[in-house]
Amino acid sequence: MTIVSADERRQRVVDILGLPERGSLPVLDRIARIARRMFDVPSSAVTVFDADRVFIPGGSGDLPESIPREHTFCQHVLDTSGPVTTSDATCDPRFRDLPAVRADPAIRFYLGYPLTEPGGTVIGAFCVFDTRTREFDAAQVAEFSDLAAWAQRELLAEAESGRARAAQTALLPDRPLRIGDWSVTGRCAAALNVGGDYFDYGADGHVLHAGLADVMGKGTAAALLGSSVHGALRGAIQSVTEGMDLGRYLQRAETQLADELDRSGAFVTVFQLSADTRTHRLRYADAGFGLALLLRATGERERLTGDDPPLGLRRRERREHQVELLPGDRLVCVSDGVLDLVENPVRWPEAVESLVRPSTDAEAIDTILGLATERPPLDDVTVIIVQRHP
Amino acid sequence: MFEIGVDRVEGATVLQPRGRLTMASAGAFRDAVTTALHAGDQLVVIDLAGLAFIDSSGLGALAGAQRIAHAGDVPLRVCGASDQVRLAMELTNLDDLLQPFVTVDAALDAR
Repeated sequence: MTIVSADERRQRVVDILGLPERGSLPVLDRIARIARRMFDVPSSAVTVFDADRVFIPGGSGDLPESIPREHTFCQHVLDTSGPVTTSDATCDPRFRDLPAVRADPAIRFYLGYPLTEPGGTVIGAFCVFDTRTREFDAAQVAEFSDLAAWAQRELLAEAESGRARAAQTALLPDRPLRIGDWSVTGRCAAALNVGGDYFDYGADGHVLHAGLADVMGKGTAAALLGSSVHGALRGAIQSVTEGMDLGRYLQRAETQLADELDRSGAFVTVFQLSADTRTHRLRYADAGFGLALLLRATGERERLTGDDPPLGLRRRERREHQVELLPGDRLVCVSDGVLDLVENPVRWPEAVESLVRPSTDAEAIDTILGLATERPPLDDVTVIIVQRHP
Repeated sequence: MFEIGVDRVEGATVLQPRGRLTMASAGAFRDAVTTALHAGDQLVVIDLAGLAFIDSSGLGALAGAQRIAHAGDVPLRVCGASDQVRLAMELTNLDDLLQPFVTVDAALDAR
């Protein structure tokens, strides 16, 4: 497991939030406007750390779009994780060499509060500046910290409300399924933002089905599309267990989603399988998903893919493939969020195999999803394991 | 962190996205490609060498760009993908659609 530095963790959280890099959020502009008026300062800003820069998703006054991190007052909230202030920056060794302090007129007064995500990582600051020397009294400091708390809430709100919406539409299976000597186990660790992984599994008599899909594109449009994808895939699943060709199944879903996919300019990757637990034949189709492995009991590893593109890209015939599972064989399918958790994504098959092979299905899934708690995932992380038990 | 450089070489526009092409930057990327495709050049090349990371939204934006290019009859070529970017294209079978070139020169010369 990799140890994640504070900077890396911060960067991941900032990426997850998906804030606009240009322009600003009106609600943050408003909070800054209130601060400017309340404290009679020329400028106030919400700042967010992004690699070696600090960008400004909300502010009031004469502010740049972004500033190199080492030129900011705000970098100091990272060291203290608490409020930082100076009444006269021109004689404060922490700040006196900053370009804004050497400028004319110089920034003399600064008060900044750290903005933290729920995991405790500082991602930015809420601050006020003045060209005059200033001293805030206790009441002003208290008022300022209230505004900072508000700014923090708003900064995180969009990501969280998106997540809540996705949770409402997701009716994911919650326990392993066992039929004869076959089983399916699957789970999803949701990212802070709207990741939009969809997975489902179930059975009809002795035939089981499992599928994983990912909307390529995030935000509200993708979240809304996600529930249509869910409907299209689940709606026709009975035909699959009754024997419908999986290539045709994907084509049918694509036709059904065509208008919405066109309108949103999004694509959907899908891996869908169906297995007859009496004949032990497993059928599958892949629309640009590409992340399924067959781990043979004999120690061999095969990638189960096709050459079909994601849904919505190019309408064309899609192909079903077949494979026979022998006792002890396992099929593992992961979502692309997993690529972001392994040391070297190019060698993901080796990484997934080394995590799955020595463990039971449930343990393996725990381990893979455990990586996601260590590193905040940029995307949902989903794992499905189908096994024909020995 | 994301930005796009624009270069003009022998009647072609070369776009150089730098940083992380993700859901946060996919919109800006799409705008830049659309502008380039409508600029009247014979060819648009997207040099991916400066991309540190691409996620599925970024891939979606690349595939969308290819689709706009097809519709407008302007050839669009991509090149310079790093290991991570190439892996993402291969897994989704988008390499088949995007047909990536190794270098900018190769993409320009293929005319």
